[in-house]
Amino acid sequence: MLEEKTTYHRSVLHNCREALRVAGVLRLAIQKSQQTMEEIQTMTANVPPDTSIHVGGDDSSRTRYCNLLEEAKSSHERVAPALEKGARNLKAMDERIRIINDDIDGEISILATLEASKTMVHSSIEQRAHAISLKRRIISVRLIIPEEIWAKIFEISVADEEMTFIEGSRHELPPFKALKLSTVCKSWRNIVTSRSNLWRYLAIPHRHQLSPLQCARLAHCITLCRPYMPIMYTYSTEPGSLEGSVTLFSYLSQRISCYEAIYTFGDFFSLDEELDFAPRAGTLCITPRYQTKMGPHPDDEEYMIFLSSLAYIDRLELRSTIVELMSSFDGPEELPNLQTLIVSNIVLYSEELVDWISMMPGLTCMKLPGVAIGMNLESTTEEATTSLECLTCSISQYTAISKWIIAPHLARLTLLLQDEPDPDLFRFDDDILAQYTDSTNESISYLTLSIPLDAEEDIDANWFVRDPLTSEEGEDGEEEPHYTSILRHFQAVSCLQFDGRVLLSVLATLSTDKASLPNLHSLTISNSDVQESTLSTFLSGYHALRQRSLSVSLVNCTNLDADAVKRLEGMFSTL
Amino acid sequence: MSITIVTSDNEQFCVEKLVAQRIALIEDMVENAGDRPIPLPNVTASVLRKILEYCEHHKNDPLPPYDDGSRSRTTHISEWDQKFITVDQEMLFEIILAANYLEMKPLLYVRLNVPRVQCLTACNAVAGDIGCKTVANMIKGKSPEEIRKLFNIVNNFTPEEEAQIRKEAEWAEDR
Repeated sequence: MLEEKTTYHRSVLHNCREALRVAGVLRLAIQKSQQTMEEIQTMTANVPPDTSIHVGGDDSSRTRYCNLLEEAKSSHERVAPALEKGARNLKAMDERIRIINDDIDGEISILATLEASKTMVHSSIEQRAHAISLKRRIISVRLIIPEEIWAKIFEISVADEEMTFIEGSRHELPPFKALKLSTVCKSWRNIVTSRSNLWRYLAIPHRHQLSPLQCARLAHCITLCRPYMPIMYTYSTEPGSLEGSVTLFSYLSQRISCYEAIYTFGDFFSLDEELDFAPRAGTLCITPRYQTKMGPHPDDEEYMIFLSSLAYIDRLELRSTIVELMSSFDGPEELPNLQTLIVSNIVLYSEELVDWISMMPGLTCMKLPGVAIGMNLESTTEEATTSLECLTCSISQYTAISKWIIAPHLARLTLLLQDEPDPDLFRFDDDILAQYTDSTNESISYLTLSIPLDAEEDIDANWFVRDPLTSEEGEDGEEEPHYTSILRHFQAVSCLQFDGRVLLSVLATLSTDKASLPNLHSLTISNSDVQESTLSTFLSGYHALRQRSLSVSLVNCTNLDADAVKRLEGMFSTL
Repeated sequence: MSITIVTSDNEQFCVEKLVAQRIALIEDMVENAGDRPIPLPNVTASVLRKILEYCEHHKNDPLPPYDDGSRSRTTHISEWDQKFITVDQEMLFEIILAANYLEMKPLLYVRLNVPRVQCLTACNAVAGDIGCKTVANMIKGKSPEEIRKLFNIVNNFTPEEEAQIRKEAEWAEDR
């Protein structure tokens, strides 16, 4: 508004000045005409009416001059009123010019006032903007949120973005989250650079050479992540310039002694031309270059990995990746440090599995989710593993594995009941179970039945146990096997856990058949939607049959609130 | 049974004891306070109302997801919690601060002291966790400049530090 007002007055001033210029020109014209007339008047006024003109005694000339004089006198008389009018006009024009000048003075004064106001307003605006910015800075979340909360937020943010990238295809530029967070402001930089755990994620290009910039980044991260062990992962990338580059494996060998985990692709170790990279790592996870949900991608081949490369790995995870473990010339023939082996979503031949077991004398835990066991069963020789304590697999895998792997110290068995990659192998013949698994079963004290909550509804009826009361005769008149008898093969089990869905038929069997899990004294139900009524019915029946109570642990059972737990406790006190 | 809580702006809340006990700080204070109102000088009424809304919703599900260490690593938030935490930035940070002050961090696996039924549970609400995860989600995929704008953060690096940061940005661009 102030600006509009100033502009208006500036235009008025401009108009006044234009008018003044025009008035000045007019005045000048009037003044000139006035002067001419005055000159004429002066000329004619000095000649007396009876003046005789002497022009060389010539009468004709004299007459002519007399006429001229008369004419001049007449002109003088005519000019006098015009002169008078001109004088009046001039006076009027002067008056107008004076008024215009006054207007100009007024406008200049207004304009000056407006300009001054404008300056004041501008300065006021600047002051207020500064004050607002100051207040914003004061209330800035950076300043009001304590460091430890920011640190927690950063921890979540870094872990989430890095792990999402690691678990993904790893074909793009990594998130470099900690690096980015440290460039927001001084305060964030101080928080991020003082938290070592934020710098654990080392992104390594999947190629033989590292560029100088990559070396500088890795050096920065390695320095900041101490004393934590790094979680290193490789990502797919195009070959870069070799100028100033260094060899990846020599760089890593010189700077990192231990890794918490390494996530890489199947051909990672074959990038090592010297074949001497043998990292010490808690976990080595090998994934295919191109992942599919169900198994190896057709473009992915079988990778050869020398045992020497895995000599210092505690936990080996092969996800959808077919790997051949090879012994190099004068290299180790075993993996003495390997304690856990997880293989998923591939076909594994029994002979290969037995070979692997023989190479892993310290193996205590083996998990085989989604693994189909190949059928070269007959030619496979038995192998004993005295170290194996935990096994996670499907029922058919367990039956098959028990044929060639003797594990006298197997204490914990987790059966993945939804996970039957090869339904043809699914056989519950009491004789087979007795022949191959009973000796192993003798040592199993902890049995877990794992079924995801979203598993198919019929898994209870068709895939594991069938209530003897509801079993039907087949078409040939023979009674179908009572799968509940499986539980009779686990005589030593003292702890039973349901992870996910609780199988009602198993609960029914336990409360009706004394020979099923006869030594059971503890039941754990985890991640389940078990109902209070199901539990109370089972516990009453179990107590009635065996005349003893069961210790029950509930973990993440969202259907049971504190009141339900109290009621179950109350029921125990009355039993 | 209910207890009275007084906020910093002197508003009184009559809260069911079962709900209030989900807040560790209040649980501790209840024992000493007897019948007297419990003062919360660092929490305003509007924020406490939100916190209690959370506790009330979660009072009957004493077993939130089992925390094996991986839970805090993800930014997943359940549908109800997501709706609950959809507030303006000021309120979001107020909730985080209040949850921190009230010690509403998940207390993992509180074992009920009963001989035969063990309930391994995380009894305390995890509003603070949800707040932190929400902020982490806000940061996700954003450049440093976008983060500054989001939280009104002033870039206060010196020219020397700026030069170092430009160098670090080059590291992140090198494939």
